[in-house]
Amino acid sequence: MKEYNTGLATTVWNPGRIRLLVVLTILTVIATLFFDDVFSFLPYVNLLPILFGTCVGGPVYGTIIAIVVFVFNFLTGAEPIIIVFAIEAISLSIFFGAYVRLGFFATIKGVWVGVVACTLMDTLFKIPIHFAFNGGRIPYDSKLLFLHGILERFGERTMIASVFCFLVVTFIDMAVFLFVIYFLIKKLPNSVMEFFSIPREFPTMQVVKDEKEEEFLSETDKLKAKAMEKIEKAKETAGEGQADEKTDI
Amino acid sequence: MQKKIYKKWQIKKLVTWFLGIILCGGIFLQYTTWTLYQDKVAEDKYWRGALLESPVDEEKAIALSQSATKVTVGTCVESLKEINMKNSYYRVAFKVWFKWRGDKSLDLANNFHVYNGTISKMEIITDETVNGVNYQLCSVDVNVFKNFWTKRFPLESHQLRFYIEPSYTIDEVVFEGDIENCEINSSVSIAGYELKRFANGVHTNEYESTYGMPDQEKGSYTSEFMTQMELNRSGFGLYLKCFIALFGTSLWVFIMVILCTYHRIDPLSMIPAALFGTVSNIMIGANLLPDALEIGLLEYVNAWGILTILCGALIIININRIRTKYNDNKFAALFGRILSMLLIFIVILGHIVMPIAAYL
Repeated sequence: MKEYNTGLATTVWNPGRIRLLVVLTILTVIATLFFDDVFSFLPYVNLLPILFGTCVGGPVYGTIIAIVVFVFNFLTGAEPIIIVFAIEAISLSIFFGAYVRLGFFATIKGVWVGVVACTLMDTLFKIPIHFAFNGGRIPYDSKLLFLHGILERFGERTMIASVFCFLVVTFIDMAVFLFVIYFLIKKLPNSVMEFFSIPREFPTMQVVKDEKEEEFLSETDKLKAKAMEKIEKAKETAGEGQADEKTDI
Repeated sequence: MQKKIYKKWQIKKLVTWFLGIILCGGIFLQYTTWTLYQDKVAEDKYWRGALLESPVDEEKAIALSQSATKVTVGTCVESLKEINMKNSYYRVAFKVWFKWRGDKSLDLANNFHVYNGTISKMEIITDETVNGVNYQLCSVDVNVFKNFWTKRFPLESHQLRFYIEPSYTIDEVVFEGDIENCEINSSVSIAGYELKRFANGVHTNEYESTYGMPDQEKGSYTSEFMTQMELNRSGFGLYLKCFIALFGTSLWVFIMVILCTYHRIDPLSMIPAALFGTVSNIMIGANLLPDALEIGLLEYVNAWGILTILCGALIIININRIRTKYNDNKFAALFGRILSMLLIFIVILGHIVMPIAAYL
């Protein structure tokens, strides 16, 4: 017997989402080609559109953007380090997408927990890849080099200095990305949201003690939904009544 | 708006297992990739160090060798006949020549040995004097003892060195390298390896013991000619041979975990066979190495395989427990999906980064 569908990997496709996919892919390519070199003290801005796409469309959506960008970079002869970026982007897309879909991202507290979780996830995967390719030496990214230099000057060993640098820098990057994504979705104009078919609200979650509380909560939600429906109907009826009155006048 | 309701135990279980896997896997991979990479880059240091080796007391060596005959030495490696890691030796066939002016009584062809080596065959090809230059050319087949460095086995590289040492001390004979004429046969090959580099050098050796000689206070000095070659694994053939069973059992565990997640089946009884297969897999590689195993890539990958199976088994046990104790099939599916995807991702990542960190 097949198990329940958790909806974690479900991806909705409509014209708005396709437009968004194209725009985010182009933005990621532009960020990879230009901004990483120009503003090397800023976060890896090329991860921002991928994570935004993941937040809106789910893990599969973000993964598609990451793969398309990787293929583009590969064909245009980018450096081998893009393999690390591709693995990082895909793993983050899957993780962050699941995190949003599970309802943890709906509140500011959830965003902070997401920052810590994404940092942990990203660094624990990124560091072994980095060690395998470069052995702890940091060949790219000025902000990492800067921090690494300071630590080594104080006599810190390369391995510990690398781990610490990645943790600090990734934490700052993730904090910037996740809060930007959160406020973009909350504050973007309605016309943009509709054009790209972006839902304004995030999936939410609530923790209960036991089944009784869960039942009570579902019942409350149902009643709330019914009440809201009635209010909406009443508003519509009142609106029609006012319109009729105006017509009579 | 979609709303998810979780019970406390669900969040606790999901977060604990997710963090457990990610921390154990991440830290294990960080440690292994770091040690393997450091071992790999250390090879270059050893290579340069062997060329720059200097005697303990250089001034004394120079003073002793003032009146010694200067003999020009060179080698040409013809073939590498065998590399036997299990019994710690390699067999090499080479030609060695000695050239010197003056003292005709010197007979280097019959008065040299290979340090840590057993000459199984030695033939003097040429022994002549041309325009006052004495020249001796010999063909040598020797077994050289070497403790092979197996940390990165089966993707390891080896630096093979042999030292030609005269039976004369440094006050009689001093070696000079005929470096420009030293060569290695360009078609030299040994199954599974490729030649990376080749170099020669001359060193002075000081013996620590006087061997009880009554008129000596310190060990004697000798001049020696060093030939070194670096071999690297030519590909991933042996790596695959050593771990193909492990990859198979890991794949089997992935199937078990996915089966348990997506269908209400308990595959726990199929796990012990996979565990047995993985544990015994180490014997394939271990049989090629000396009995005293050095902890390295072979153990890391096998430990990674065992951790994969244990982790898969624990995920299955947890899914079963969620289904039987809490009767919560929906959460069992969610828990299984998240953890199985994480397991598959981290295991594949490990099988990519560990060989990359080790291979030169």
